[in-house]
Amino acid sequence: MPAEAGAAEAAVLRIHQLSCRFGGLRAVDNVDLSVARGERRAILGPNGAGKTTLFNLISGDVFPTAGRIEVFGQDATSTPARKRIKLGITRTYQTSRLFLPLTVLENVYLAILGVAGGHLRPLRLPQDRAYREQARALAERVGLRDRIAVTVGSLSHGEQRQLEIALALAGSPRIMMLDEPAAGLSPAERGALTELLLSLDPSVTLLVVEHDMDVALRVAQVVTVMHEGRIVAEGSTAEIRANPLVHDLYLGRGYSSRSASDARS
Amino acid sequence: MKLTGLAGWLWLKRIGLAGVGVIVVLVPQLFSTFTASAIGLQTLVLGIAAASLIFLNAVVGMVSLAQTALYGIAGYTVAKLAVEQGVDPWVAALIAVLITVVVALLFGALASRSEGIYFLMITLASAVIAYYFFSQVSAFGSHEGINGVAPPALLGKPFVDPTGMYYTALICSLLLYGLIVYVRRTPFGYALQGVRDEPVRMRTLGFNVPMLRMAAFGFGALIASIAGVLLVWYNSNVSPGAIDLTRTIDLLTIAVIGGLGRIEGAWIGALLFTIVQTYSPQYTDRFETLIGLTFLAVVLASPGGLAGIAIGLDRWVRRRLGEGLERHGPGQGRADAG
Repeated sequence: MPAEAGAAEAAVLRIHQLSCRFGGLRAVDNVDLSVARGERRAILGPNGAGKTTLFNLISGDVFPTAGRIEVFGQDATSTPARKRIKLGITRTYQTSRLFLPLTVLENVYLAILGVAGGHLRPLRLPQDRAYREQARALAERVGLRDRIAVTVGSLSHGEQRQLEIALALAGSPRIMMLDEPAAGLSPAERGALTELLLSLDPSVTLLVVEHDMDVALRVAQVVTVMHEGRIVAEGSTAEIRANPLVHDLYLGRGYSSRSASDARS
Repeated sequence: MKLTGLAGWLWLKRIGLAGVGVIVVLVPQLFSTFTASAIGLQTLVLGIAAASLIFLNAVVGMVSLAQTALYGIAGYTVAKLAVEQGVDPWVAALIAVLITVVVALLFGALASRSEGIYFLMITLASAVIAYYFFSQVSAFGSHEGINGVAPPALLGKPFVDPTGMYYTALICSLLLYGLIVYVRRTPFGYALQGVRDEPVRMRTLGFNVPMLRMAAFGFGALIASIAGVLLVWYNSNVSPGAIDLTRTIDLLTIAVIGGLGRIEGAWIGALLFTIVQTYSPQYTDRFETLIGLTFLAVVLASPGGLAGIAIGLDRWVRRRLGEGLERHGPGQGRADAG
């Protein structure tokens, strides 16, 4: 009993039998997941496996049809999306959701303002300068030092992906979810991204959906593999590398329930 | 020495703007009473009303057709208080603005959950409801409206001498323009621009998107209500005709001609609209056709309206003159891009 209580305390994110159906489609089907503080977890799986829907459920962009989400031991299943950032959850999106007519600095400033509050204040106060300084520091951290005053619409794809991460870093997050951060990046940019992710505060929990195995397996310690809305494998990076099921899924040989049960045991 | 071209253009622009400024300030002295009133004053008042529409579109991405209904609420309130209750016009104006903003916030609480075309349809419905409400309820004078509304003594009689009224409208225009420009750069203003560009992202960043939309609608109503008060003082009456569907469409036309993306466009569009409206009857009785053609010509030339054309022209000239500049010092060109 005490051991279990200890495990519950260590888990920052616990998901119980979570399901999300869109009509007849079970996008996420009876998923159980427990993520420890400071854990770096990659979520792998072919397209349509339910990875992004799982992220949407955790961030509150979509609500589940069944199941429970606990964040730091608190039930957050029906917490509105805008309140989840106060629990320390931030995320990026697979296709960038940025404020294109605004500058890089203004984009990060908005992310900082989101956590700081005072959204209805129609006055400029000294703290806004402090927010801007924080925004500048974050933009520099993701490698956008020379692009601070540039309108986001005129950034390159890679730069927009960097900015996505800067927005998720604002407001000292405790659980960060990155949805395909390396998608469309050049090899050099992938290297820089990996370095950035490895340099994060070790107490921050990181969930990464990523198709690039080099990035995913270098950053992650634990890997969860999803297929058709279910979790079909879970383990350390070494275990997953050796798992024949994962090879099957990614090489397109299809998957049988027998190999799935093998993988679980 | 290629710089002289660009510097010359900048000076020309400055002189031009200063010239426009001087003319705007001296309208009552330079022009006849009729022109100062029918063109000058009308442009300023319609410009304020259109600015409320452009603010909502440019900053928050909400296209509202309820702005005439809102200025109608302010206009009817000020008229009823001044004529029937004998309330001091300034106090009546203040109450009218407050009531309009409260009504807008209540309406915004309901309407702000819908977006795009659905929001537009709800505001259109509210414009129609306001029109029928004021034209049916006898307490508001039904079809006749409320007549004999006297503006504050300070402003004189607008039809005899529009000077006082003109400067009041000019000061209101400048203050409201300055206010909108300032608010854009505050946390509230940035939050609204965020809602315009990426509401989903705003939500996960911790913003209450419906509440921001509601507050924006209230702010737009503040601007529209001042136009409503000025309009009633200027006409000395208010009637359902001032808020019917034709006026709603006129306001949208003004905003589009001026430029839906730029606040300045409100007054530019209002000026062109007022000129066409005032002088076209001398030549034709087809005012609607003429304003429709003007609308088409402007929209075809530039989706940003007249303000967009002016900015495009400025950029074009600067690029032509800046070509030499870039050859001399590429650093300058980059700084400009930033």
